[in-house]
Amino acid sequence: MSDTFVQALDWIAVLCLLAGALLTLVAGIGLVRFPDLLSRMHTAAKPQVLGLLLVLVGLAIRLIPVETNVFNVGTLALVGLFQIVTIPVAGHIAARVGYRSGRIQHDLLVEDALADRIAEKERAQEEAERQEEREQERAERTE
Amino acid sequence: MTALWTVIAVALALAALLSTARLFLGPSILDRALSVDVLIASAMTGLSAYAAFHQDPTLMPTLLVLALVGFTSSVSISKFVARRPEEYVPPQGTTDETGTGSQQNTPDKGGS
Repeated sequence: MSDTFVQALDWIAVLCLLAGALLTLVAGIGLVRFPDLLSRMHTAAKPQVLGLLLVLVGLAIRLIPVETNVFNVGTLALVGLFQIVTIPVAGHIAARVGYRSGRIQHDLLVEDALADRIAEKERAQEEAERQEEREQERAERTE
Repeated sequence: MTALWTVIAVALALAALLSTARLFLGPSILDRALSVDVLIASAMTGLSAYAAFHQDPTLMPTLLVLALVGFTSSVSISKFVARRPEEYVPPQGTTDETGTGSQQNTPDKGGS
């Protein structure tokens, strides 16, 4: 490969790495500045997915001139895949637990669809309990 | 190009410092778990940047392990919190000194 080609590849790789590092920095700033758990989770997901993918692409491009082993690129793809699969799981569980245990500032929410669902479920449960009591009374009366 | 590498290193170091600050400040245990997640992400980014700078693929298995295991910490902490519904919640207007209580009761810290 010619020198200019390698140099162009290096520049692309460094720019990708720079974007990933800046996204990580943005996440750090957001973690310190944002007021509640959900908005912090929003900013924390940036380096975990997009930032890491950019960095992996940069690393792969940077390794092209020196590396002939295909398995290394495969490893990078696997790293990205696992990250994409596992990060939403962690985020979902953390947000759910945060909501259920009341660690969320409700006045900061624009829309709260889960509250309606929970209220509906509780109403249905109460209705079922009342129905059961009525049936029990009827059974006692017939005895 | 050296300047760009320096900028990358400085940005990663600053990000790790800031998320460590959130790790110390809390206020709830889930915020700390979240900041540990960001620390892991910045560690992975740093390892990749190191590997790219030296053009050295030796560190890739480490990246793979971090990607696989990194999310278990926040999941297990969340499960631990979910199993304790009756938790100490300080009365309105006081700050939460145990660091485990609800975010709702602490005054708005920084930001918007």
